[in-house]
Amino acid sequence: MPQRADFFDCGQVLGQLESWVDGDLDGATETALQRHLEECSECRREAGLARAVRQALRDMPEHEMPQHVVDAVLAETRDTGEVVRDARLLGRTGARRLQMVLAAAAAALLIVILSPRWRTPSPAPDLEAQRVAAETRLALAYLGASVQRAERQVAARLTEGGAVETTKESISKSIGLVRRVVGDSARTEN
Amino acid sequence: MTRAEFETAVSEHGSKIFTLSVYLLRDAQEAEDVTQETLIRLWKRGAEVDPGKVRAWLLRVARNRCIDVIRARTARSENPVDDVAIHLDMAKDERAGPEQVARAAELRRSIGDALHELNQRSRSVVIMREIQGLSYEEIATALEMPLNSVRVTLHRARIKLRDALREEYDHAAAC
Repeated sequence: MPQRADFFDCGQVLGQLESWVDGDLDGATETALQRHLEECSECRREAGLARAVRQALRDMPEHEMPQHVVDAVLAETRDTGEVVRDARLLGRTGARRLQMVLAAAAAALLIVILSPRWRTPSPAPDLEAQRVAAETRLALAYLGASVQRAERQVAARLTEGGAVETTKESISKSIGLVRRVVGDSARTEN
Repeated sequence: MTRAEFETAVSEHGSKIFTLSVYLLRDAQEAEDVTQETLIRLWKRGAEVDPGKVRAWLLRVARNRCIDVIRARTARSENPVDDVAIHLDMAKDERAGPEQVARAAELRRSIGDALHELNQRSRSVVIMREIQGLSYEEIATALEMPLNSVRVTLHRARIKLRDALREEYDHAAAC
């Protein structure tokens, strides 16, 4: 900012040129700058250059996106409908949730199978062992049914494509985990 | 993002992306490719984009893609086709006299070269502000720069452009 509102030197003018071209100067400053330009040919030429460059830039045209690009974009995105996109997200989320449920169930089953009561024969081994074995079979059957039910529910909400494969893979991994746990427990039982 | 929202975004912002790409790459074909890739990326990632900042997001993605293209081009030691220069004469000064028209046309032809001499960041800021008329805030969002940095970058870029074109302007003024 000049120390006197009505006087500008060349250095001050050059420093304010861009703001002047933008129309951002206050009244007093702009008046002082204009007065200097009237008297200084060097600064007048520089101001003309600043304006010319600004105008040349603003004259550079914006380019319309070619229609064939629009068509290509719409065609390439049309086949993957938004339902599938949302379902893929749902599929990943749903599969993750299912995996957590199955992992929790497998952990609970593991605790039951590995509990001291199961490991240590009871005074009436036949009856107690039979009861526990029956409970375990029931639990496994229930788990299996739950997995199948969940699988059907998730599959019903997905359409074909990678989302289904992603979910199937997630479910298969969970089922594999449960089977390994159950298989290990069966070997322990035997 | 719904299908309808996506198609609206394509319609409203596609040309902005294309313009930025054209001036950064100076190659219409590559600009078309970048534009198409950018819009398809919006379709795939629409859920992650703030609905109020779609244009800034698109410009950022397009600019980053253009930088990748330029780096790959540099690695192959290729020069751009520069079929964009022909477009620089399209704008006309309807009220100016013949000398002014000629001087302006000459300057427009040179401004493209001068613009290309700026670094990527400065060039992007100048294109977005001076050619596309974006606000400082939107430029800051698109380029992930502080607002003040945008202003400073633009100020310095304008001075560099003036320096690059001074001789030509003085020559034209003297004729």
